[in-house]
Amino acid sequence: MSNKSIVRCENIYKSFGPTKALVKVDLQVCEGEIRGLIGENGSGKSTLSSIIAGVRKADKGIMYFRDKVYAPNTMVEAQKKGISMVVQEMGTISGITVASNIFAGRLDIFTRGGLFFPNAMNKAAKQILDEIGLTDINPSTMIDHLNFEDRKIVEIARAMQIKPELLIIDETTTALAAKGRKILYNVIDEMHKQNKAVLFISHDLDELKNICTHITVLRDGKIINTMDEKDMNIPDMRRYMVGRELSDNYYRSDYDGSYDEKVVLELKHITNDNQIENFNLQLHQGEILGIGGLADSGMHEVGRLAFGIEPTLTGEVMCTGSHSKISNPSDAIKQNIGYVSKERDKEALILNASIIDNIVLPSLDRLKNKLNLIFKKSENDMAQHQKEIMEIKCRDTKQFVNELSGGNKQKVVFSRWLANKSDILILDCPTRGIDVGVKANMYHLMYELKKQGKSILLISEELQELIGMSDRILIMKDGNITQEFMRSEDLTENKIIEYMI
Amino acid sequence: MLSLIKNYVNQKQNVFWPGKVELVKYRVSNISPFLGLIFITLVFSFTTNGRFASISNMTNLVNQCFNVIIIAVGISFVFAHGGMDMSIGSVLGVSSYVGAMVWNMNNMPGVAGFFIAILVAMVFTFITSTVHIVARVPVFVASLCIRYICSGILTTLVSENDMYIDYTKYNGLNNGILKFFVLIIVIAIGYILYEYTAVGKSLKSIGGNKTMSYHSGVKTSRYIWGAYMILGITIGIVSMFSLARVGNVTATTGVGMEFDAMTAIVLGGFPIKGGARAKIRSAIIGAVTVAVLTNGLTLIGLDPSIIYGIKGVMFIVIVGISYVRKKGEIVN
Amino acid sequence: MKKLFALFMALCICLFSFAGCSTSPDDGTSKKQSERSESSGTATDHDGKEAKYKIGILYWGYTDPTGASVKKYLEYVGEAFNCELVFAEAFNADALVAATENLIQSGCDGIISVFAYAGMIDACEKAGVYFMQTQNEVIDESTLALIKNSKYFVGMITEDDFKCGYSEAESLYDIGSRNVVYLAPAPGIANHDNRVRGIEAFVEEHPDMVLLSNYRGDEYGEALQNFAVTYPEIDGIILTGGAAGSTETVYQVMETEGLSERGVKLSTAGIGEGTLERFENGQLASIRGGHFPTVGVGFTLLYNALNGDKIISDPTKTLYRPFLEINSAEEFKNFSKYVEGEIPPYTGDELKQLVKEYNPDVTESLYQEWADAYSLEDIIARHGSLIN
Repeated sequence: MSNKSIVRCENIYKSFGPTKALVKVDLQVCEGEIRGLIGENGSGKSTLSSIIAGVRKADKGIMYFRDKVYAPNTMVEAQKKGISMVVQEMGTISGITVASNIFAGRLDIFTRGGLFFPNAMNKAAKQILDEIGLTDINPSTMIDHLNFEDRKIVEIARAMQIKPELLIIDETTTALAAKGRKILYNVIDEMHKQNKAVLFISHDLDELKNICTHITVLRDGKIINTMDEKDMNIPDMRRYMVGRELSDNYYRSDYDGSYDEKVVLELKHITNDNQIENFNLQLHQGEILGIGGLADSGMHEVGRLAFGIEPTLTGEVMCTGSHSKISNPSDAIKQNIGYVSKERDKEALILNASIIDNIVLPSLDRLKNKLNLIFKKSENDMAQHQKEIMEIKCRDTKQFVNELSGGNKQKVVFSRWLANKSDILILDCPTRGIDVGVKANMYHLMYELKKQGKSILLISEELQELIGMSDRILIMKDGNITQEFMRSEDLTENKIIEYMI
Repeated sequence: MLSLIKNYVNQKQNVFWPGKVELVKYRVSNISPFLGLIFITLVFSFTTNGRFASISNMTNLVNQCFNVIIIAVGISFVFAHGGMDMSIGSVLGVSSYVGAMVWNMNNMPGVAGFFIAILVAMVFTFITSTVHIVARVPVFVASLCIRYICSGILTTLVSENDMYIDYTKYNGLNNGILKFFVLIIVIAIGYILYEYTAVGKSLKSIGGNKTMSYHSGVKTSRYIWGAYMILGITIGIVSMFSLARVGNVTATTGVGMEFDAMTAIVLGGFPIKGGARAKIRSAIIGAVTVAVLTNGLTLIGLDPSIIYGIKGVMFIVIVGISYVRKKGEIVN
Repeated sequence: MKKLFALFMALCICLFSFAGCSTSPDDGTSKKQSERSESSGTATDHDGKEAKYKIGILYWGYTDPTGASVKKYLEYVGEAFNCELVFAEAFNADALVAATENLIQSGCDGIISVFAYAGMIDACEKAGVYFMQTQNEVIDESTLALIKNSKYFVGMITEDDFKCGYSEAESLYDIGSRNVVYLAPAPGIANHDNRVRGIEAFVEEHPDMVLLSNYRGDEYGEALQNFAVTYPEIDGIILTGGAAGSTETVYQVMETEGLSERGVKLSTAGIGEGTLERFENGQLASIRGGHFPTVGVGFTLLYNALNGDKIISDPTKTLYRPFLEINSAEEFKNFSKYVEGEIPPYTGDELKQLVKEYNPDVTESLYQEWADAYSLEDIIARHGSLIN
């Protein structure tokens, strides 16, 4: 790897009102580097990358591109210099073709004498798509016909078509499945081979460890450390990110995967109108049952079926203790089952309501007094209790949930079911998008619940999480269970993956 | 306050919390509808040489805001969960007519008129809500259909003759004190139901996020039906008191009631989309404010078209200011 | 914060309008006065004199032709009698009762209204405010019973719609039409329903006149087109009047279907733009209108009552006045000159002849005489010298 610098930031400061997003940041990315950038939510990584990509300007400090002063006013200027970015959210323009998306803003290349030549554009687009490995897409297709992942890949193509010197990837991998990730890794690899550079922001520490040559850690707007390959290990990364020693036991400390014989929840021959057909599952008391698989393996549907959100066409969902069938969420809640949806903001919370409103909703029956009236005091008490137990960081429980951070939002969701004294919890991707510190708390809580004899159905796309927390893991593919794993020290991802794909 | 500051200082997360100034502003904006009402009342008393505040005018005021307040109470339940109803006026007309028929029958007690009228109103609101829940037709469309149906029914019924009742027989219902008490009772029941039972709380949460409510065990369909039933009851009550006040039912009876009610609640700060910020007291204050304004402005002797103009401008101003640009909804 | 600001702004708007009108609290006139200037000056009739009575006017609106001419005439009459007028409008029943209450509350001594619902009558009765109904009448028994027992209900005066319809059919008959159709709004509006009864009564009395068909609704144009095709023998069309623009539509259809060339005659009520041209090119045979003076006559009845002079013995009996009949371009020119000109059909002084304060010989039969006499000839006879 040569040492020639591609981009260098010196003394960067950026504030948003009273919030200091970046403080005295010095960063240099050299040729051939794959630089990972990690930090908790709010650490400043997106702010930093957006400044480099020309989205916004720093308050103080200087940037250099190939040792010349670099101060882009817009993303287009940055692109002209050779820095492009792929973002986290949806970045394609609806209503136009793939090729138009790739060459958005640069259609003048294919315009001669006032006439626009779409065929030339399509041809160039096809070439780029082939280069990055997305060979099965016709560039003249409307972008809206593509699924989310493919649209993301088109964004990568767009970023690549200007042949950038520095490619910034901002948390894109969360949107990608296996195919997309492969393409992205290839692109990164190419950049590395061509002695260009990549700035890679991600929450997936394993991924970063595998791909990056260096990793820089940000915390509270300051650069904490930059690790090179020999220093990279995940516990250290976490420690730098959080700023304190996490107990060795991020997940569970024990390897005792035992649980009661007693079955508390049983899915018998259930079928829905999608992939799930004649599916069976048993959840035992005091068990953490993990379910893993690809995103479309059907595991999320199992969760919804188990809680009664979707009705089953055949068979039944049975709460064994009371011999009652679950056919809608109301039944499930009466049986003390709780459900945490993977769409936190869309399905698990009322953003425009207070913490209290969100916590007490399933427990309204519990709070009724003799006249069926619910007094604010009992609601407040319940919410306050949860706030203390779960350490929800907020101004007070009357605060509206949309003002909280992701981790605290998830704490509110959990609180809701704890307040309702749920014995069975169905958790779907419960730690997605949450900072390391809060994640650790959640895992701790899950373990405590197990020890108290509660049962947890843990559905997750994060294999490490499943391996770390579950007593038993079921792997699903195409709506069926392909393999079952028991808790063990030797269990690794590799052993599991082949049953997923 | 001290603990608030402590919390603010101790926070580690980069979350924007409103500081102390914002909190004061928030508290003030909560009582500003009250303040506005008091202010208007004082202004009117002054500019009409005290005529506004006289007992006879106050009695008139009770009579005039009676309808809007009761409907506002009923409509709060519907809007709280994000629904709406464009048919209120037409339904009011039809239930008035049927109620008048009952009152014109010789052996029926006056109360029977009320019961039948309420029943008729509830039938129509039930149809609206059922079409919405079962056939998944947007409420706007469903209620518009009912509006036209009822409008057609009423026009046909009164085409030959308007429907008259024996005014003197039911004049007792026009007593200001009686109406005042009825108002208090309806407001009290509505308030308790809305703020202190699962009914109001569930409806507000449905308005906030229907899916989450469903996941939390709220039987959404049942509550939505219930909201429309409550609306139907209030329509029925108003239709009979209105009938006693006027003495007849014509093709124009009730026309525009839904707009008056919607204007009233929005004026009071009730968000059109419902949700957690939808407080029933906003609806009530808004209704009272609209009535006070109409009454006062007429007393002053303003040209009627100017009065309409003022109401229209106020509506635009208030709704426009409440419009949250980034969310694109009317949030208050 | 936002709500506070919003309320503050709204109140500012209110205050602006207070400032605009607090100087002339009786200023009920809007800017929508007709282009023709007021011969009697502006509506503020204070010459430093205290107004004798304050009178509230309740109408459905003042922007349509009828409402506008009514307002204009009342302002004229109010000035002549030194009364302060307050104009209010309302449409649905509850709002009318509320408007009545507010007019009473603002100090009106008497009210002239086109609607007379039991609630309104009762409000006036309780407050001791005199009530006169114009251009409409009460027909149901229970309200009539209420009127019979009231002290403050002065009476009802309105145009004779039945006679209007009857005479429309008669006009067409007189010029030779024998096969007619009529178009009217949907059932439910009393004025038009009565005119229809008049038309049908005339046709029934004259067997040699045939009513081919009729249409009740809003789509005059379509209906007429259908008639034109279905009944080639049509030679007369009667309209009872209708919404704005409906007469225009009829004219257009008459042109496109070539009805006028065939000699089909039109008779209608309600005078609008272009009436003279229609007379001149033969499309229009006969028209009714010029009835706004009814409110002026009604005003005098109210004024009498306020003075303590009860003219009408039985307020449950409606006093009827005729429409003016115009059957030619010549007559229409006279109409424009004498009725819609600067001098109204009844001047202030003439109206005073109906008021006991000025004419001690006033009786109820005098009113009837005036009603019977009202016609274009009558107006020309009285005002011929005033207008050259």
